[in-house]
Amino acid sequence: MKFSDLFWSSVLMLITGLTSANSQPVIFPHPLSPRIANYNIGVRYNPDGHTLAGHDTLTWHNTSTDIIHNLVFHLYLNAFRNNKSTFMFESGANSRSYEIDSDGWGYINIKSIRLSTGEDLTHSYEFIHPDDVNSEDKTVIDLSLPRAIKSGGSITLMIDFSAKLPQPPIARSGAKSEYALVSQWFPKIGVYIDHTWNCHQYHAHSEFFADFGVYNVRMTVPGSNIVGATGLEVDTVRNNDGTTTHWYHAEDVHDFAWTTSPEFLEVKGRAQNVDIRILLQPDHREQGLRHVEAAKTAIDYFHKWYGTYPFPNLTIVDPRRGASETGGMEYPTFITGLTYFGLPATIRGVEDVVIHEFGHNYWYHLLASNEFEESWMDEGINTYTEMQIIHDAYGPDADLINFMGVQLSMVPYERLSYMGNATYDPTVRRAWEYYSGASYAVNSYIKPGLLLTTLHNYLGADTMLKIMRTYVERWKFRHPKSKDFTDVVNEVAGQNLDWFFNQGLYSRAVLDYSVDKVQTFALADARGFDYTSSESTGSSKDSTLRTANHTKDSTTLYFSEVDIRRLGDFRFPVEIEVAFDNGEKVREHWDGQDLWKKYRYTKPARLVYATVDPDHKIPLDINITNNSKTVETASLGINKTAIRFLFWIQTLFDQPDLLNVITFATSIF
Amino acid sequence: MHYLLEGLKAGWKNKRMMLVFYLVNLFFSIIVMIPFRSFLINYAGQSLSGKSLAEHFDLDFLFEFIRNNNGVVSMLTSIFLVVGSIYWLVGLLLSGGAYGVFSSGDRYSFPLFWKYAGHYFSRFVRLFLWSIPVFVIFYSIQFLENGVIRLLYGTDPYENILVWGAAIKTGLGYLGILIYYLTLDYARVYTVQTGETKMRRALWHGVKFTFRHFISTLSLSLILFLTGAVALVLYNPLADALHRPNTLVVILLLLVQQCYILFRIYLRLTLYAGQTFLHSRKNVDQTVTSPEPGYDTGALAAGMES
Repeated sequence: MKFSDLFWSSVLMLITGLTSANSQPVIFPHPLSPRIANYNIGVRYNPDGHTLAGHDTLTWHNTSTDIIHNLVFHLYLNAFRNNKSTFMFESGANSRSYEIDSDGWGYINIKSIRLSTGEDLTHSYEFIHPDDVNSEDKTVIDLSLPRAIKSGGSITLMIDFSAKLPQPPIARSGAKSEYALVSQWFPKIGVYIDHTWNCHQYHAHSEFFADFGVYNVRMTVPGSNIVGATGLEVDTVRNNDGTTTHWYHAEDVHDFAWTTSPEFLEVKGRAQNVDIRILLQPDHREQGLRHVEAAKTAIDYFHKWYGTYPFPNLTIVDPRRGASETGGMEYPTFITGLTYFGLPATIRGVEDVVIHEFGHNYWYHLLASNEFEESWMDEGINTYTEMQIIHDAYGPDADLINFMGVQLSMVPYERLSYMGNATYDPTVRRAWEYYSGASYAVNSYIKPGLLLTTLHNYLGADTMLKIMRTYVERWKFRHPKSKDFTDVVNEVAGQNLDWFFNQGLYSRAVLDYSVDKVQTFALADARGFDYTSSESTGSSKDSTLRTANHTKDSTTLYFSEVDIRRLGDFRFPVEIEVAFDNGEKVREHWDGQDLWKKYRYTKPARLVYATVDPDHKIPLDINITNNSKTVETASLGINKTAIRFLFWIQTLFDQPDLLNVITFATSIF
Repeated sequence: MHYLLEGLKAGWKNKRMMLVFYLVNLFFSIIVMIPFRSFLINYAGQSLSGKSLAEHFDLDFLFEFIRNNNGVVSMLTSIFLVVGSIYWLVGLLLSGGAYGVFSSGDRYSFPLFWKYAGHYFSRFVRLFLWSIPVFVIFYSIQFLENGVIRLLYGTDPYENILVWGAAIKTGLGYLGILIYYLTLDYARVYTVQTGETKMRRALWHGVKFTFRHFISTLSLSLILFLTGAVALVLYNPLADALHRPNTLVVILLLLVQQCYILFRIYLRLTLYAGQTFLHSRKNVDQTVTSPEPGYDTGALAAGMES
């Protein structure tokens, strides 16, 4: 950058800052959150090198009862600085299977830190490693202060920084050609909570945690670029050098992400007083309205079920081809989708991603729990609400995929991953301490989703809705923890469900009930002393002898037994349905505590089948096939499946070239 | 069209040959199906999940089956590949019988068919081995698509280009396979009609003949391929409609399926017959290098004229 450009940019930023300080918009007349970390950032984006030159004025309030001697910051982009960072070690230089180009590393450098008094603190910080001993990791700094901040006090810092986005994007942030998704891009202060700084290193399997505040961000980008960001656009200024400065303002948010590209197509919509703005790739122009409808569905359902969305807008970004790493992600009032050209309407990828990512604006944004330490509280609760909404909006069957005879619903889709990775870790665990990425994914997303769905079925939909609404209302903007959520459940449900959460969240216990054995046989005629058969005596005149256990019309009695076993360690009350060949069905209720339970019946009917959880209320059960047993072999179903299998083998043998269609999928991906 | 009609007539005239092909297809397929059925019975034979398979196919069940039976899935895949390979070889054997019968102009008879089958089998196996590089060449045509895309649109094309490109690539891949089959087929016909013993020569003839008469050779195959595809499209909704869980409906489903397979076998024999007639007609100046058992050009010509 030429000195004259730098000079005029600085002047521009200063003028903009001074004037806008007096005309700063107000979204919420009364703050919704404790506005602890407030940022005024001016940043210039250079698309040639995908670099950022930024100036940040941070005002931080000490709302604790402690005296603060230091401040701790995240420098997230340094996770992509080289292959020595903790992130790179943990992910083997891959994240979601993408690799960094040889010249595609990213970083963030602090050029200077000053107090508002002008005091220079540039050399007062050091890199720290609160989570491991990796001295090469530079994603957290500890800044020593010359004077402590008393309780109730505040501090204003001016930080100059430079950054480079990785190309192609990795772990949600980066650039690809003309497109950039800029996230976790500025020095971000940690959270002072429970009398200490909570500021973790950037791990391969962790997300984020920050305090709420007000953001004023001015982004200078090439004049032809469209910008989307957290918050509302306040002003746009065309600069003499062909760039444009976009000023965005956001209140009561704990993060700020933005995107820019000259290729975006804009589509707009509105739902529940929320302005929807879609920034779409040209490849996907036919899917603009589809994104709007998905957003409307998300907003309507969340508004109806979980509480009012307090923000006036939502921006949805469609990632560029080759930058799908930035897709499927959430930031306050700003989310990224994920789609593909020609995606059929009955493969609900767009809807699923939009509903899921919008849901984060409740669980990640409003509630803002610590994603490093209790990832399930955002991802898991969100997966549960996503499942409920998808089922209600597009179900009851094939709510996820209904295409060319293939029908798939959310629950089996989620269970597929759950089944293979259920036993490695308890759900509540620090994100980087799970056994593997798969275990992180299952325990953060899927298992809690299935757990809460099981709870939903156990307590009933109305009670569960009340729980979720209470949780949102009571804990929004307050960084709740797992216990805060379970306390709300116990209170609203009117019962102590700690037994459920202790197993589901804090242990590796697996839920698996099975029907181990069923048998049914005709009772033999009573024989021996005291009994004689009317057939053997041939006379009914002898009244001293009891007749056999036959009714007058000689109906046969059957003895039936059903053995239920608890194969997993997770104890849960279950229903058992026992069916007889006279059409009778008996429902039993078992508390599920012991290792097994036997049911015995003497009836004038044969047992046909027994099944645990006949209404499929327990999706957490890891094996549904063993939930039932029939007395007779289900040969019809087996034979029909075998016949269909036979047909496809015959077809493939006769026409093996049919397998060529696999090249279609492999060519795209 | 003329050769297609002749092929249809000849195929229909030799219904018992159709039965041979069909029974072999059924036999090998049953070999793969039996272990699958056994695993299925063991896994879900006495559960309501197994019972509900009579009504609809449940993906939850499928996912559990795959997850809990990893070894079974691998084994079934291996069985499919091994049995499939053997079936492919047996198909070569049978094709010798079919081409021999069609070339001779006689009707199918058990001794005649198997005499031809046995006579040409070793040649056809050698021919198949020689044809592998030809397969690689024709199958690789589809990868030109990658180069064309890169040339026209660079390394960063829009997704619609990639999707349409993938569709074209799949089509090219199929065309490549089809052309390979054509060269193999006409090489076999040539071997039968001329008694050629050098399979490289036969293969080369197959390639030349296919491309010299490309419109005829390709259209004959394509028409039959499209007919089979249309039949599959018609079959699918019919099969889906047969979902009621009773024995009669399942038997009906089996019958419909096997009728479709029989129809496919008939199309295959039609193809063999049509190719034989096409080759005879177009290759009239090719001299017979050695007498072949039962080969009678007079009967063949008489058959065509009738």
